Amino acid sequence: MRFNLKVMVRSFGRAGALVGAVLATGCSSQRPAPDPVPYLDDASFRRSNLVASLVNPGNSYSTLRLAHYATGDSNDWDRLPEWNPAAEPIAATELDADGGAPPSALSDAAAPLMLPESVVSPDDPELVALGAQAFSRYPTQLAAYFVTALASRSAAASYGLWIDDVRGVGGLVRARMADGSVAVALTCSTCHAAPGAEGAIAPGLPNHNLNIGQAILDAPGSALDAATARAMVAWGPGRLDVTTTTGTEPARIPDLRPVQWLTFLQQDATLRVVDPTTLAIRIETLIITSNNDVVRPPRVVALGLAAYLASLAAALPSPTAAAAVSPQGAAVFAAQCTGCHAAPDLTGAPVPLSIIGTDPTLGLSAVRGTGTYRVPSLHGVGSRGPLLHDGTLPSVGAMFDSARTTPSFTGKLHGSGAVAGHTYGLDLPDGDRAALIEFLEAL
Amino acid sequence: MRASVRHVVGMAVLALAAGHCSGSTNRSGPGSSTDGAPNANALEDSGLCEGTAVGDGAVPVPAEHRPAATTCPLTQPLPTSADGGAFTCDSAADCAGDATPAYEGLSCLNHQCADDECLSDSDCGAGTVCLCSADAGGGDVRHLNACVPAACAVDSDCGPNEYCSPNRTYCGEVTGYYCHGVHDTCVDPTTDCACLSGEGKACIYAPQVGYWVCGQSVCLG
Repeated sequence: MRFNLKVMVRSFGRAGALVGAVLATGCSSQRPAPDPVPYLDDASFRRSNLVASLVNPGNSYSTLRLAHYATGDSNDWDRLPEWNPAAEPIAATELDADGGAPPSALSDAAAPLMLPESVVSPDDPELVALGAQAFSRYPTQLAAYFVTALASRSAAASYGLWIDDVRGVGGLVRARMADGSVAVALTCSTCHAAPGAEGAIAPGLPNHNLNIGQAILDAPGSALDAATARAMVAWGPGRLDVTTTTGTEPARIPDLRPVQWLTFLQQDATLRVVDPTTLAIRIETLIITSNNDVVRPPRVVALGLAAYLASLAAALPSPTAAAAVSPQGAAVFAAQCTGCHAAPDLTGAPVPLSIIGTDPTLGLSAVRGTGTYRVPSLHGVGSRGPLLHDGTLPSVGAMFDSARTTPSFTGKLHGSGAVAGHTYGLDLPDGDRAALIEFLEAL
Repeated sequence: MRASVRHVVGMAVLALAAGHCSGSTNRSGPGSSTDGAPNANALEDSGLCEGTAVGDGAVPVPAEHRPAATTCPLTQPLPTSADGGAFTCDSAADCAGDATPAYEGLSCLNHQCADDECLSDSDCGAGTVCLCSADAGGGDVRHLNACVPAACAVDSDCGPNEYCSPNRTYCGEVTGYYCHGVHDTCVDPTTDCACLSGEGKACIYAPQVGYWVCGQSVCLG
């Protein structure tokens, strides 16, 4: 009996293809070849990676995942339905209609992500392509509060949503729900994409204008208590708290462009990167918790997003190019900064809160705290926008403003007065400091 | 093929293969909900917090449900027009007045401009119902009557012996009204969702799957 592998793939998908291949080879008694992408199929592999990646197993970020991720028991998130709904970006031109973009009208063009039938390696180009699609089309979290922002271009802009003729409105999509309704949802690109210096939308660049807190407060029917409302107002543009139920621990939207170089994930170094699977697991569980733990993404989507994010590094300037702009600055950097921002990743081991001296709120958090802050990779820092984990410094220049640790400093974002911590470089001679700034602004 | 049928066929093929060789993989995962289609197998496949909420077609009475439509009282005195008289209107656009901030966001209720968005379901559009201020929960900021999304207005809009209930966030804020039915995996979060760890566990309506399920209900968003 001959088996037509192509027919089986069309009819039964990956499971059938695997079976067909096995049967066609006559069921060799040899051990099967190692799975090139164990994240997709091997729960014990995923569990081991998760356990190895958690820096503080005692914080609630960790305990939640230890209780539900690849456990093999009745509480395993693997038992959640896989979710890949039909979705479509909201087009910019829709904002020009009377009443703005309709939040519940889904066109015939809406479709689920097309998933590859198989993945041959973690570097499979199909993975990166899938990730690029998912970055701007997979609904990561329902966002009914943004319906108000769809009333017009000015309404969208007032909440910091970018508007692009090609990519649409702030990375928002409409998605078909299982009950037949249509919901507005965020995608990764809502927070993690923004116009670059030349106006084109740069994937991975944080949207430091996005004001989700204000959108939630302004949503029809919003009825938050006064304390929570005040906390959300304090987020301001470019920041949000995705961890607590009180909104009191906002962090700036991180720059995802240098993720390839990161050895720790999240501002408070919650996760150590064991291998690229760590990021895929982080993305997978983020989507699960962002959807209230009721659905999970196709695992190949999470892997694709991780592969795509790793590919964004190619667009960043090289340190060599930055050194050509400012040779003196490169020399100062090598002498003063590489203790923490070591080449080639321009990052390093997390730094204890007491040493870095910046606002410790996030680092002490019961949700994600580790007692340390991640050392950000400086790849891309020149175009990153607000700096520090809480986004309180507007630029590289402000970071090295010798007045910023004094009460008279007027450049602080999300507050006023001094910005404490990371005092490295503040006492450099003026010439060296200027050269260092020039070098970093070229990265 | 619908996801559930493909799942069954795939399992049958794998079972056949198992007779020859050991080892198999299924990358699609159980209870696949592709294309937003209702997942008839999800109740059996979800596994999380398989409570005793629903069985044999009997839905326990939820703590909150809407046996009948209600009429809400005004929460704020009616605004007056610039000349101090009644602020009449035929539509919300008439209430924009001279674009002063005091007139922003007013609704037109019974031909008078009002802060509240509604007094009854008839003031709201299709697919929405009027949530009275007293029922909104969640705190005391901007506590007005408001139109909220609704898959049902009253219990009788749902199936026999089913109920129309408010979905609340961890803050207690109502996000909409949805039917409690036989596909649900929970009704009472205390008894039905005890298996979940972490803050915010609740019995919530999940449009992603189309039924009530134990999950983590966040306060924000």
